[in-house]
Amino acid sequence: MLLEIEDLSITFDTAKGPLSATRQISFSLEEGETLGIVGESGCGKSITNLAIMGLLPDTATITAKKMIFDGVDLQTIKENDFRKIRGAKIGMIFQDPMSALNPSFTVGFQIDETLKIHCPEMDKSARGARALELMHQVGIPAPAERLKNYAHELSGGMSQRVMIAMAIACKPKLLIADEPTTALDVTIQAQIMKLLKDLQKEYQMAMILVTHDLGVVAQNADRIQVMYAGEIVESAKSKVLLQDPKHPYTDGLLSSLPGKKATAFRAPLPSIAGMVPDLRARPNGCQFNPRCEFADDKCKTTLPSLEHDQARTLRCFHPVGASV
Amino acid sequence: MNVIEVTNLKKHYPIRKPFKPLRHVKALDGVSFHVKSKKTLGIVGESGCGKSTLAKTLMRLEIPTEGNVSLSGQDFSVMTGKDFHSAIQMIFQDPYNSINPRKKAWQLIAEPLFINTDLSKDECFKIACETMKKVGLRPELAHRYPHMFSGGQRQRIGIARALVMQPKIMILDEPVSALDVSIQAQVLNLLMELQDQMDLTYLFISHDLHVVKHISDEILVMYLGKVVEYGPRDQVFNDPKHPYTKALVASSPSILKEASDEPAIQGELPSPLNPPSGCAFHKRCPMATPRCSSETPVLEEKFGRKVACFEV
Repeated sequence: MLLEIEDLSITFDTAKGPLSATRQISFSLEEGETLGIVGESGCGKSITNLAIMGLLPDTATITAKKMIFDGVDLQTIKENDFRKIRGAKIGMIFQDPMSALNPSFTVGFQIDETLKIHCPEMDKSARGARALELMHQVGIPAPAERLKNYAHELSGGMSQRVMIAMAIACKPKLLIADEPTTALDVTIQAQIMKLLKDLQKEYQMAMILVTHDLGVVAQNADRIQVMYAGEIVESAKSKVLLQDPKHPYTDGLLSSLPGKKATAFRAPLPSIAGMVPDLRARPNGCQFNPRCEFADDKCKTTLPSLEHDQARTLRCFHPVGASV
Repeated sequence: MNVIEVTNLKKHYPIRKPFKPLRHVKALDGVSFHVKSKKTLGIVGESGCGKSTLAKTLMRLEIPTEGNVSLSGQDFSVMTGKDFHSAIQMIFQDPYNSINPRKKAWQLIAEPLFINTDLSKDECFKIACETMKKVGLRPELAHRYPHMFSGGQRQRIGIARALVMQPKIMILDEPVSALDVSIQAQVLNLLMELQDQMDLTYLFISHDLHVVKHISDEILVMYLGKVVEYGPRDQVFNDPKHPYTKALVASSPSILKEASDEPAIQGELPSPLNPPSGCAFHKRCPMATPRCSSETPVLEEKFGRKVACFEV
């Protein structure tokens, strides 16, 4: 097991009182596996990843039973040791490549910097050769000239390729891709996702793919985990989850997508009424109950626990399709 | 009856640099289309293809370099402000940045009325409240400020503000792409209901092909300021002919199909300052021939739609 997380809860101290961003997140990741995390904005997708990377601000309180990456306990590790993991064993790609790159240095300098910090045994010429190799690997044409470019001289797709080159520079075991293609056009998106898949095979990396686009996870993830209001509501193998969603939220999300064969031209789309709850004033019981058509009194008072069976993990008293 | 008819619309931006010859960015280069009353035209293409310039030019926010736009038979450049704004209105992509945070909901919605009509404040308020009801906002919320609304509700304010002049045509520039998936469906449903109730004609700009396919009668595919394919929805999406449309349809991620092993097209959009010779797409095109790099294909009627390609 590469990554094991059990009962991770993150609370922020805010001026208006404590805000619980995530509650009881538990999941694990095998080596080489791709986990897709989907959910709406504010559901805790990014926060969970920042917690794994140890990048949360001081206002956050993290409690977890277990947070183990590659045999290292991430809760007790010292900041100095964390630096050796971050960027070396765990790589991360961010949503907006244009603002993730430093505008005042060349991209060659930025790739070199990563190598300098994490691979001290390499000398300058070895690093230069590696940077060139990386640029070539991520499919940038004329890599030697591109190394001398600044971020503003590159297109969005190119910048994302450079970000990927930096993230994989030290051959990480885990790559966290937080909305890697949201800012890009569809034809470029297809190219980048293909690149990530190829690199994953070559380096034997595990990947956490965070996105709100169900189409992207469906095509790329081995397993999908759906989050709602900071909790995991359902998790299963991609095919199982997409073809037979059990949680009413997953089901609602999938059926609200246009472009399925079942929805006729201009037919009203089934939608989930209401909005995501305010995380400072969470509803009692199941977090989804105010928007759920199957909710009864039990759902309004008791939070269902995360039940595991062979095929899936589910947090619901009334799964879709179950006899009532 | 064509509510909007666009003929050979061009918008060229001059690039003036000292000691260098004058050059132009051809953001729109000879775009023509027409939309019938109560129909929806979906406009798709990647960023930089001229979709938003088209929207801005149609709203008279940019002056076209060449070409004609007629709204219900009238030349749009000679219409008075009031006539023009009650003919065409626009909804913007980002509901967070497109509304003034210092105005109340009803003031935002009634603003076009203050500018274009002589109605009193009370009458404006009344109309604003009625419009709020139409878009699914409770009139009690009229005195709230934008930050008190969620993203979906703000987009509804944006819609109400466009509707208040009772336009015939609405330009929707990526109206749902800033919204979460569960809210997207709500807003799309609202847009379709309003179209039926108020006999609206939509120009629907989006990069999400599934959304466009769901709502549009006809599709216009743009690449680098030019139309490459234009025709009825079923023809264009189910049986695309232009290689660029094919690539778009193939790259669009879906929960129904497996990812293909090879990306549909390589390369990126060329710089509009320095477009390739001949067909703008030929450098990325899998079926390009020497002819494509020397001659520019024109839009021709083929297979029940218009395509600009030699190899179709």
